[in-house]
Amino acid sequence: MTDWIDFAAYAAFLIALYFVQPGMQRRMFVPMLLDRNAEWVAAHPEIARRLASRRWPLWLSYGLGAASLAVLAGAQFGLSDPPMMRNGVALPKWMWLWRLAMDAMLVAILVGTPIGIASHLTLKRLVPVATRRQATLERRSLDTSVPRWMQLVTYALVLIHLAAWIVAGVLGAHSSPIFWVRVAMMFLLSGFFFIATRAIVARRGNAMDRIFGPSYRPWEVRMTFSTQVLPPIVGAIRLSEEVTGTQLFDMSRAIQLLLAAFIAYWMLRIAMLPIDRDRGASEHLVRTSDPA
Amino acid sequence: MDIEINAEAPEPVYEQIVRKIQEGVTSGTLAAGTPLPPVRQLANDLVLNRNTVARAYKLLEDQGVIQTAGRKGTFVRSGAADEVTRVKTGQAERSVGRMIESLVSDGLSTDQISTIFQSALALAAKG
Repeated sequence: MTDWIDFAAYAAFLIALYFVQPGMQRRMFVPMLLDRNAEWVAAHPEIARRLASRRWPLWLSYGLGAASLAVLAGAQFGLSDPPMMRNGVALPKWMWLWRLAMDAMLVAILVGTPIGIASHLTLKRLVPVATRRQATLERRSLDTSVPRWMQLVTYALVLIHLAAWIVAGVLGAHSSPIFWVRVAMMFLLSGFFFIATRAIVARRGNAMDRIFGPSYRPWEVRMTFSTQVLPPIVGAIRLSEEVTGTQLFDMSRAIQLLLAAFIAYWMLRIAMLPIDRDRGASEHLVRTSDPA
Repeated sequence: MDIEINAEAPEPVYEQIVRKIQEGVTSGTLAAGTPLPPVRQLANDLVLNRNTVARAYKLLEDQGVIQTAGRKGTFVRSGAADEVTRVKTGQAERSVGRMIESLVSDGLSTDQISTIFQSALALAAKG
């Protein structure tokens, strides 16, 4: 694995974070407004237009994204030196790139969270919830999105994987001093992804479901469900390293790359989802009613 | 099946939920054994207090339209369509009874009331 793979993955991650995702939020704004209360939008087109025409969060995001990419590219092309570790050795480039990407993500969270909260509160304050509201009378369950056989295979895989760690531990077939920490991590990660899947199945219906249409939630559930195979994949490699005492490849680096690629893929995929025809038409109406 | 409520309608929201589910049962969209969403899911989706949905479910349960089977959730009962018809018939009988009492107290005879009803039915039949 060369540094260029790391650079490409983190650059894609930053592009998704700072350019694609804010663009998608902007594209979703009017449909969300209409979803909250279409009658209010029709009665207050000026306010709706004013809310929809705010561009400064987008430009701020683009600016931060460009700066983050420049810093990342600087590190990759040797224009900036990696920091020293405690032992006086320079940080490996792949780790330096990872840290820069994570710092950029932290900035995005620190800047984006207050803007998101403020925007949400403004929307709640200005736009009342529609008096007419719709909901499905269908009970949501995992079965409606993921076939039962696939669930059974996945859960069997997860249980076999966890059992293998326990057996290796009991038999003493491990080589690292942090073996039991890794066992705990595998249990934690497996539990986390299991609970995350349940949470997505049970989450309340929101504007995204209506804007993207009835296929959105099943897609979201399947995506989250698929994360449950990540601990067995990573764990199997780690366990083989523990048992054989040999390192196949740098797992930490691989996990970090996998995570960045997964988040970037998720954001790009959502950005490419087609908006439901009715919502799109409504959006078009609002846009074309804009005299400016 | 989707359900729509109007929070500003004169009819209380819990009664709207009851009516919509009853309509689903009588139309056959909600067949016997069909699972219904948990109170929390429906309340969240409709942006309502959970007590409002719980009240609607309790009323439907008392009417014999739905049943709650512990952790398995809430289902449409077998024979729910008959129960809805029975409930609706009872409500209609009480409503007509009150109307007749009112007409009698206004001084109309039973023959006159009968004639009024027959005329009204004929008009309704014509559409």
